[in-house]
Amino acid sequence: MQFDWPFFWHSLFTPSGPFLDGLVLTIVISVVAMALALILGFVIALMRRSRYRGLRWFASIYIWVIRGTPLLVQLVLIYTGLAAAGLYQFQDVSFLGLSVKAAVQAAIVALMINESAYISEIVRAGLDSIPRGQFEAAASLGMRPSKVMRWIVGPQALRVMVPPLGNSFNGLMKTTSVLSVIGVSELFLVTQSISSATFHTFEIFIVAAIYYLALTTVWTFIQADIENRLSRMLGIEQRVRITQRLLGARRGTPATLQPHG
Amino acid sequence: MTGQELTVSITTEVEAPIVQVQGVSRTLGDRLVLDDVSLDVMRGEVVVIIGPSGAGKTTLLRSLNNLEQVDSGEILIGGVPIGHRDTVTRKPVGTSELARRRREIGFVFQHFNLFPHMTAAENVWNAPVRVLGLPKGKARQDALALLERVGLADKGESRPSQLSGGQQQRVAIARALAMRPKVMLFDEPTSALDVEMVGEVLEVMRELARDQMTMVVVSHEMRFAREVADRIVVMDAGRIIEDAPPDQLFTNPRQERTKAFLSTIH
Repeated sequence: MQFDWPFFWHSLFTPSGPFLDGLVLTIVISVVAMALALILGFVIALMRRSRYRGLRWFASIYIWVIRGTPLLVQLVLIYTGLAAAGLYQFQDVSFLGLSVKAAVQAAIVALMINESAYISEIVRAGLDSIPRGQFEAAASLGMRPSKVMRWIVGPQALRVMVPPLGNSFNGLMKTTSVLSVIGVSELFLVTQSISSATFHTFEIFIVAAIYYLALTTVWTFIQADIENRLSRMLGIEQRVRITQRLLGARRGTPATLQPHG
Repeated sequence: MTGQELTVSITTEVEAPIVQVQGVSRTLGDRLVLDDVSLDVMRGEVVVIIGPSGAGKTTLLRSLNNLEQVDSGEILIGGVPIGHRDTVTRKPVGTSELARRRREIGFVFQHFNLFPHMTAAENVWNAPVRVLGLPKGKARQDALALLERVGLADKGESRPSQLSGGQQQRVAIARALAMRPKVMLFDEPTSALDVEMVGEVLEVMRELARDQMTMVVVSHEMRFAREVADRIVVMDAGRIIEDAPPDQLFTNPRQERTKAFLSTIH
């Protein structure tokens, strides 16, 4: 086996400018797409619970279609397909002094739409986990539905929602690698171009893997911190041990908020 | 409906009833849960609803603040229909308006339904702050006073999960009172409690009655009903079969079914 150690160490510890740019773009796209997907997913989840049948149908069909088709197909449809059909062509734009490439916009839109369908299901499960008595008690105190959500149901549902949402984000960061097909120069694409320029395919992709692992590991710590903060806020003393989280140990007995009847 | 007209004409001379249930019916599937129920409750009155399970007691009580909707008839609280925009068009009331109307009505649940992510005090001051817009400091003070009134002055910082059932239910009563309701509704407030905790909750309710709070209570606590109620309403199969002061009802029930029901209790 030939393994160019000097090249490997060099690429790992002093990565090239394009490689770092790709890393940053991966992070930026992930965070922005996730933030937008959270909003859209929440809206879709609320639509599913709407009084109006039309909205419920729309939301159900949306979730069905988005979850039932590959992201790659959605991505190409949104970026290349829409343009080919003459419906919409993404253009490079300047945003707060930063130029955002057309492909990057399409990537964010596609990831947002794809992720929102999954997130809406997480939100739905979170809301469903709250006993009816909580809604009723809040309503009987004269709270409007928006206040019930903000003060009573939301904070409790969040506890159920954060772990799966964290998983989603973890997955999303890795999924950004498919964006290479529409030419977004994120971590995967820059790795590939370094590979074809240097022929050090094995070395450079191991470096890429290490960087992806670093990203998701950092996220694991952040997520554990969010969960612990949330538990404190909700008055539950149960710390998420980081080893448990990293190595995927069995969850301990879930801390119940309170037996509801 | 001559009896109904009679009551109305008499009471309007004095004061309109604070709760008016007028010919209310409700079907669930093919079962008539409420069958043409009419009931008036005057200000300061304590009405205890008893009857066998499945009689429609809880459905009636929950209808009073529109946690359940009725199919026909009208429920007025303080002269305002709870579920409809007005009594003529009978369009369902909007969510904001319904929320506003519900402020006047306190509801105490069988299973307390305290908010588990808040302390006892926060459970009490939360709605006054979020709904009525009271300043937090003032609302907190009021909450502590209310907790003291239900005998839990030292439990303000406790979480619901750290409280016993009886304590939780007393916090729930304080929480409802914090909105300064005109009527308090109690849905079997002691039936989820261990026996030794029933007394402390009933004592709080007794005191409320003494303070002239208007109360409608669904309960199986006959001794409480006898002592505290101004009137006892007996329901069976979705109908009100008897409505009388406790003395009369317990010593001389008019209906056979009332007798039969009372004999099952003691």
